[in-house]
Amino acid sequence: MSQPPGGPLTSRRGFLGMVGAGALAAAGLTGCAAKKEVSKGTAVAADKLKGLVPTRVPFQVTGLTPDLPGSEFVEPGFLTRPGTMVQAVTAKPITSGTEVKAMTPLWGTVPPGLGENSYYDAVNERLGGVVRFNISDGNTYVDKLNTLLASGDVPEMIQIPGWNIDSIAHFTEAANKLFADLSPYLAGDKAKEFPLLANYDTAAWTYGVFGGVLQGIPWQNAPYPFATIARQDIIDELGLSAPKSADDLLALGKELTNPKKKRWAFGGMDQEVQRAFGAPREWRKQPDGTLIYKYETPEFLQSIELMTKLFDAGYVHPDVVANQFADHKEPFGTGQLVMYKDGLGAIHEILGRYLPSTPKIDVRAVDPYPAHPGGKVIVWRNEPAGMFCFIRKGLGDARTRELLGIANWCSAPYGTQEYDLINNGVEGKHFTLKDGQVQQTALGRKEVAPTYLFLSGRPGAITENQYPGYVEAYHGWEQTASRYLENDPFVGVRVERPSKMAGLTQPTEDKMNEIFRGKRPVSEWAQIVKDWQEQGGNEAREFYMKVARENGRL
Amino acid sequence: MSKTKVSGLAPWEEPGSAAGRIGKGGVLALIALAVLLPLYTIVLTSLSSADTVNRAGGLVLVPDGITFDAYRQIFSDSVVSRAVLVSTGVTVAGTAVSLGVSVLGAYALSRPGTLFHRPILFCVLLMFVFFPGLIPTYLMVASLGLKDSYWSLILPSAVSAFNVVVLRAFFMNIPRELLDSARIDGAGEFRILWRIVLPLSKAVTAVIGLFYAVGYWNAWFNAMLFIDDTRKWPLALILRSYVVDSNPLPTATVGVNGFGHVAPPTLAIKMAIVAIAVLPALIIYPFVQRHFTKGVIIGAIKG
Repeated sequence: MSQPPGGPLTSRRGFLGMVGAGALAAAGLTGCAAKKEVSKGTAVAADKLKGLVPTRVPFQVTGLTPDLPGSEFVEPGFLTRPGTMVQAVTAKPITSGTEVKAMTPLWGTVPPGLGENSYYDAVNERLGGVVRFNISDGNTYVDKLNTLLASGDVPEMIQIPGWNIDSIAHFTEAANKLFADLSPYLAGDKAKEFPLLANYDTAAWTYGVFGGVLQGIPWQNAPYPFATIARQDIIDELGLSAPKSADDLLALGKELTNPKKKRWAFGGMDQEVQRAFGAPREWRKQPDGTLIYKYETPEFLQSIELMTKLFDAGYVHPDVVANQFADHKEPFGTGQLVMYKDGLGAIHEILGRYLPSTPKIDVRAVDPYPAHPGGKVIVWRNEPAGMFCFIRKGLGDARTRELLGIANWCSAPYGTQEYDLINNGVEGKHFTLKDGQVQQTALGRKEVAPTYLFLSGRPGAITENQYPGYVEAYHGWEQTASRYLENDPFVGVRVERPSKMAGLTQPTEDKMNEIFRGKRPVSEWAQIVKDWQEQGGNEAREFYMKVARENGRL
Repeated sequence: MSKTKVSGLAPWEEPGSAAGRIGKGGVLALIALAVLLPLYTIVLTSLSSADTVNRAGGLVLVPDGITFDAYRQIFSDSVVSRAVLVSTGVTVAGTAVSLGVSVLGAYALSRPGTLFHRPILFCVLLMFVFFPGLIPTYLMVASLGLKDSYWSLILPSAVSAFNVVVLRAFFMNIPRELLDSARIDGAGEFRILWRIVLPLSKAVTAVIGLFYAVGYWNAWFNAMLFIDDTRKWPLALILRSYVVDSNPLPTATVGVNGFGHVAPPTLAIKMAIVAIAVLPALIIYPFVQRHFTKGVIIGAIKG
C-alpha cells in the first residue's frame, strides 16, 4: 500500500512519539541532555508565591448583586440577566495600532475569518485594534502546541489548557524560555493598573507560576472537577431514582439498560466511582507519615471491581466500550446513555444542544454519593486554574503592557458590557432579547465563537439563567458538595508534576480501562501498580513527600 | 473399466463441483456485502430525513423517502463550500506536482549512470527507515515563508519514497533496447520519457496518481499545523470538526431552540459529510481500477 503524502508527518502516533524531544529543543537543551535532565517537578507553597502574583482587589460591578451568594467553594448565581450592562474599561487597550496575533483552541464550529466576521470587527473596534486569531481544534490542539513550542514559533498571546501542559514534556523549561515574566507588571499592587486581572482569586494566580516565574494568566476553574450527570427525565419516567450510593449503580444499570430500546445506563464513570469509594484525587497522607497514591489504595481497587461489573453486565454504552474517549454528549442528549461523569458546565451545554429536539430533557448533577449507604462522602477539589494565557517573551515593555491590557479587558466579569460583547456579540445583530433572555441570531450562531474569552479568565459565576431552574440546581449542588471536600495534603501548594510521573498516568489508566473491558483480569491490577511504582511512582512519592515535609504537611 | 472424461483443461482450470461453486460464491458475496453494506448505509442515511434516522435508531438500512436536506445544509455554508474548492485545488495541484517530481525522479533513478545516482537512491531508500522529523519540517516550512500558504499543504509531502521506488521498478522493467533504439533515432531523455516510457507506464502512473490524490484529499494534519487562516482550511480539517467533534454546522437552522442554540449535526448530516469525503476516491477509482492490480503487482515484485 501507499503512504499518504507526507507519510509519517500525517501520522498522529508517529508525531506523538517525537514531541518530548521537541519541547526540549525549545528549552535549548541538547538531545543528549534529554535523557538526563527530565523535569523533576517543582513545588512552592502558595503563600511564598504571593510576592509574584497580583494582590487581589475584588472588582465590584456597580449595581450588580448575585441572587444566590457565593462563598469560597460555591460560585455566585444570577437568576436574571442584568437590565443594564456596566462598562468596566473605558480606555481602548490597543493603542499602538499594531495587529495582535493570538492562538486559541476551539471546541465548536469554525467561525468566518477576519474581514468576513462582524463579531470580530465589533470587538476589535472596542479594543482599538485588530486581534488576529489562529484557531485550532481543541481536540488536536496539543499536537500543534508541541510543534510551536519546540520550534519557538509562538504567537504574541497563546492559550494553553492545563491538561495539555500535563502531556507536554519539559513544558516549564519551554515556557521559561518562550514566555514573558509577568511579575514586573502584575506582582502585588502593580496589578492595580489591570484591575480586572487583580480581580482573580490568588490561588488561581499562583497556578500561573511556572518554574518560579509568573507566566500564565489563569482561567479560574470551578471549585469541583466533575459530577455524575444524569438524564433525570428518563430516570423519573421509569419510576427510578438517582443513585444514593455506588451500590445502587448495579441495580440502576439493570433497570435502565435496554439494548432493544437503544438505551444504556452508563458512559465513562470511573473517576466518579473512584471518588465514591473514597480514593483520593491524587495523594493521601497515611497515619505513618508517608504518602500513598490513589492507584495504591484499596478504594481504587474496589472502584475497578465495580466498574468491571458494570462493563461486564453490559450496562455501559457500546460506543464507550469501544472507545473510552467516545463523545458522550450525543448519546446522552439522544437518550441512549443515562448517566456519565462530566464537568457541571456540560449541563447547560447539553440543554442548549438538545432542548430543541427533546423539550422534556431534564439534566441534573447527582448529589455526591458514597460507596455504600450511610458511608462517608468525599468530593475532590478542582485545581484553582485549568487553562493559561501566555504572552511571548521579548516583546518589550510597552507591547507587553498593551497585551496585558487586552487580557484585562477580556477578563471583565458577568454584568459588564465587555463580558456581554465577548460572549454574545452585538445586540440586534448577533443576539436579541426575548423576555430578558439572550437569543442568538443566525449571524450570531455563525460568527460568535469563544476566542477573546481565551485571552484571559474571570472569576466563576453561574449565569445560564435562560434555563429555568438551572442556576438554582447548580448552586444547590455546589452548596451540598462544599460540605464533603476531600482533605488534600497539597492544598495551597503549587506543585508542578514531575514529567516522569505525568508520563506514567496514561499507560497505567489505559491498562485500567482494559481491565474494565475484560481484556485483563482484575487480579493484574496489583502488578500494574507495581510497575507504576517501579517506573517512576516511587520516585514521584519521594518528590511529593519532600514537598509535603517542606510545607509542613506531613 | 472406468471411463475417464477428458475435458482438455488443466486440473486447476476445470469447474469445481456445484457445492464448491456455491460455497465460493457465498463467501465472495459475503465479502462484497461487507464492503458494500457500510457504503450503502452511509449514503442511504445521508439521504434520509431526521425522522427516518430516528425511527431506524441510527444508520438507515431500509429506505423511507429520499431527501437532499443534509447536502443542502452542508453546501449552503460558505465555509464548507470554500473548503471544497481549497481541497480540490490542493488535490489537483498537489497530485500534478507529486506525479511530476516522482516520475522525473524515478526515471532518473531507473537509468544507471545518472548524476549522483547512488547517493540520491540511497537518500530515497533512507526515507523508508527515517522520517525527517516534524519539528525540522515545521521549521523548514516556516523559514521558507510557506506558513499560511497552500504550498505548505503540498511541498512537505510532495514526494513519497515508496511511490518513487514503485515507479522506478516499473521503469526498469521497460526493455532497454526500446530506449536505446529511440536514442539512436536521436531522441533525448525527456522525449524518451514522454513518448515511450510514460505511454508504457499508464498503469503505474494512474495508480500512483490515485495514491497521491487520495492522500491530498484526506490530509488534515499539515493544514492544522501550517494554516492559521481558517479561510484556507481544506475540507478534511473542516469536516473533522463536524463528524468527529459533533460541532453544529454554522448554517444549522433545524433545531434552534428558544435560547438560540442549535443541535449538533444529525446523523444524516454526518453521513453526508462522510459521503462527500469518500466521493472523489469513489469517482476516480473505476477509471483507475483496470490498472490497479497490474500497477501494484509490478511495484511489489520488482524491488
